[in-house]
Amino acid sequence: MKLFTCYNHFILGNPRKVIFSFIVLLILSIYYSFNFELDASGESLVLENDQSLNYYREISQRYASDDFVIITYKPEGKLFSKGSLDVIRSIRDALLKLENIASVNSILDVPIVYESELKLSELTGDLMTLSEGNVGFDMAGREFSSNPLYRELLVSKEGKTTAIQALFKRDEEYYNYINQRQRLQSKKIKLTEDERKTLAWLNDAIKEKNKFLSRQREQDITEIRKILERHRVKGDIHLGGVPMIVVDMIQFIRHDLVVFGACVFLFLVFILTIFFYQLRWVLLPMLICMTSGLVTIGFLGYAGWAITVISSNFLSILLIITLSLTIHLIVRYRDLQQLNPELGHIELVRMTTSSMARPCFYTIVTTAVAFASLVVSEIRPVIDFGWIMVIGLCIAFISSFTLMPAILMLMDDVDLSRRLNIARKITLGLARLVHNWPVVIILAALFILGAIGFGINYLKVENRFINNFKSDTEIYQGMKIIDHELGGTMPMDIIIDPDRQFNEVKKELATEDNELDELFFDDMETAPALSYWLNPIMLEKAKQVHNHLESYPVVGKVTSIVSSLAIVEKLNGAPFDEFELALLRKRIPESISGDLVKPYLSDDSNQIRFNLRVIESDPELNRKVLLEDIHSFLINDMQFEEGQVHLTGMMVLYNNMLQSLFRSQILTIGAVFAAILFMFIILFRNIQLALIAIIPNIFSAVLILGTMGWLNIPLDMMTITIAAITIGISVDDTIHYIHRFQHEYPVDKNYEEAINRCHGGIGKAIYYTSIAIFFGFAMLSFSNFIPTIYFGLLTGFAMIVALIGDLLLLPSIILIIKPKV
Amino acid sequence: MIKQYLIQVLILVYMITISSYVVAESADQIVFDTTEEVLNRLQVDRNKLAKEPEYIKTIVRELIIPHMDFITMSELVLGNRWNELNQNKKECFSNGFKNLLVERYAYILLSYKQQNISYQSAKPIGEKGNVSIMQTLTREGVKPLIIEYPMRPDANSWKVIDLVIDDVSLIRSYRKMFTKEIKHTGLENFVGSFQECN
Repeated sequence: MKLFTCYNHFILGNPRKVIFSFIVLLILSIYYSFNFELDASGESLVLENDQSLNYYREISQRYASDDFVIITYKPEGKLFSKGSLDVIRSIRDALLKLENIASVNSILDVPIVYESELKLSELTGDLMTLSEGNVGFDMAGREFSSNPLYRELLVSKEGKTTAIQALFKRDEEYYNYINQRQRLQSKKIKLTEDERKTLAWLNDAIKEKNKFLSRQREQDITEIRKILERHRVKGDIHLGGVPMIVVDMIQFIRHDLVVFGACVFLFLVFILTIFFYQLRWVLLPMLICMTSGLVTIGFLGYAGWAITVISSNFLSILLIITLSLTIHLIVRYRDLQQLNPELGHIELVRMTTSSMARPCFYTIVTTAVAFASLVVSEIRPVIDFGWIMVIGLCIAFISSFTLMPAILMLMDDVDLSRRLNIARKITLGLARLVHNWPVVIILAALFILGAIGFGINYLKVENRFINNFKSDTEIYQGMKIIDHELGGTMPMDIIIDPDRQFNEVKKELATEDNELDELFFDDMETAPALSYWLNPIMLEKAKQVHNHLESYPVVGKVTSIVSSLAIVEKLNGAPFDEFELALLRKRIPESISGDLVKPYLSDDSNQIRFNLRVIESDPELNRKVLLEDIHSFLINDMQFEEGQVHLTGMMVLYNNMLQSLFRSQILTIGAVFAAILFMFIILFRNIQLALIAIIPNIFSAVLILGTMGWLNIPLDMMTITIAAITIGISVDDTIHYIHRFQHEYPVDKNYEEAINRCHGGIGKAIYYTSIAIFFGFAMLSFSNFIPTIYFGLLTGFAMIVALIGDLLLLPSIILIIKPKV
Repeated sequence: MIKQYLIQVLILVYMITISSYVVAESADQIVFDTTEEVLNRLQVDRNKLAKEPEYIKTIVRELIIPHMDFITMSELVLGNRWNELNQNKKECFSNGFKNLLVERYAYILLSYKQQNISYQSAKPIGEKGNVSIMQTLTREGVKPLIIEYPMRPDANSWKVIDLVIDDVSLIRSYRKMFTKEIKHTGLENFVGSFQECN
């Protein structure tokens, strides 16, 4: 009570000061909101010291960067003709003029080797290229359809489409920071004070760099698109590649956030007008929602806390929760007004806030605990999402219980709308259903639970980026061409190190004390360093791995030292033995080695790299299964040791992230329910009621996940948070309902009457919130970005499911069990 | 590229081996003289070689192999494991290794192309009066190739015990490869894998 006296005194007693404080806060928030950013970097999707990301960076640094975009070009006429090559040259030159493009690979620049009829001994640094003009079109056609490194990568099988690969410059400063941080983080001993300061500085610097590089990449993609636009009249041109996917996804999310955010907002205004028919009950909730959103955004901007693809949903969830809080306040005010017509406006505001503070606080605390539990997950965006929501929920609660009553305090009395209250009729209708058929409702719920819940078995933690976009979009078409004609979109690497026996042999050779050495060899070291891979036996094994990788229908182009050797062996006329291979490594011109050897073999020839391009758009692609299958093949069939084999690359990182998301969001759902049950027991102080209350929440979660399974909607970065949202909404409704029931039942100790009063009161607020969100979020189905559509529809569906769970199933169980209150 | 270098190597091996009959001749002189003879033989038998490429093996066996010290080369290539073999196994392995090299490198002589060859004086290596003769092969646009022939005195002649191209030793390369295989399959199985030892 003391707390409420303070609240009455400071908040309700000083409405102008409260409003003024919020105006100041809003100005500051708007100012800082300019720093608010969406971060889509790889760094933003994993833990700060994630080993797989560190390994990925190390491999990219050692062999070849996969930070590139691919431009596909299909001329109207022949590909190998002067006109078409001039277009490619023009695109290439324009790309090379861009500040952040390091190099461009096209059919113009790669050496013509395979069909050149050169002998290996004639290989020099200066090789023929189409660009030099010393290669005939026929020979070029043969080269690009037969060279194992080029075919179906630079030119499509039909020879009509070509790929131009533009590699981005590496930001050395950024990688320097990353390496420094990695060194500090991997230190086994405790860091010194200076080292801790350096680590903190590095973390900030990397964060800033991430933002800068994201902006830079966005500009680069825009510039590249401008170049392509200029050439589009000369053929069919598309853009693809991971950096473009990332940039486009961010742009889609940002666009949807602004455009559809505004649409949802306006639509909610429309729906609230229909519900309440009074301007103040329309503008007030929207003002509070806006304030919560802006203050949260401002805080994130101030803290330099960029949101990620996963946490980008926070604004929608915040809108739902704030709207729910304000609707509950409005409905309570109006109910109190109807029940106590003699009370004045100020008194009604006081009574409204005092009666709703506790249940609303409970809902916020429970939801905050649920979101806070995300901080124990393994991945950074999920942790961020958890914290952002905890902060947002606090802001939503404070705004709803300070700014809203403060504004109301300054307003005049308002007459109760005399309009026919349809919501009350509907909720009381639901109550009648509960009274008449509680068993039927429970049985129906059980049946639905079983039938729809079975769909959970079909849930997939998988998605294809191409499925995020509608088929008429440029990004969809570009990805499809790259996938099906030019080797695939998503890069992946398989790295194989030497086995333990190799190191033993190495040691043995090094320590071997052979007298003959002293007799016949001079001091000069004439032995090639022992190489694990550069010998016929292991190269044969590499060939088997290469061929196996190529046999996967979902894998497009595979390149490795096997492809390179096929080229030089053709020039040599025969396979190489160990001695020749050692010589080859030494004699091959640097420029050719850069293309043929270095991307696939470490300098000491002990580590091999197979580069795969995965066909992202293949409906059969299941990343987890593919990775497990490759790993199993390497370990069980090829007999490599566990520690030798490493799968890395964007595809692996993405799969790791999805699997971690699945673990943190879905597999821990049981633990989340246990935590919620614990909260219910504390809040309701009644174990029986708490156990009953958990049922509609399980019902909601199972129904949503089952529906997603049946409809084949994959769990990905965007949709995986739906389960959390569903539980959040459902739990809020349950707390409100049970809290009210605990107050209504003691009035006459009659379950039916208590249920009627609950439905006629709090039921209306639940109904208004659910229907408003359902229709409001349905607007998102007009988006061009498929995850936004899923998000909108599933959130709306979750609201309706929660409504049914809390206004039909929950009271039916109460009626059957008749728990002690 | 590799073929070209090995051609030179084989020619010079031949040159060295035939000249080793002339004890009084220095190792340098042997290399120079025999190069000419091998080139002449290739020139003379050019038509026959074009029709019967297999004939090159005969040339190699006639002119080169008899003058290489395969016992020492086998000993070097097996390292400490050489002493674990009995006499029969030593002989069969030595024959097997010889045939492996003939099969592997004989054809390379067929694709010989004229290159400039320069010589350096023999320099002593090791502790038993062995020498190494170095020559440099040059051709326009290609990095010069340095070949060394470690040789040991053998009664009235010099015998080749290794080839070192661009600092890569043939014997040591094979030794590393064989060590790995022996580690994997065992010495008995490894030696048994040579047809000559079955």
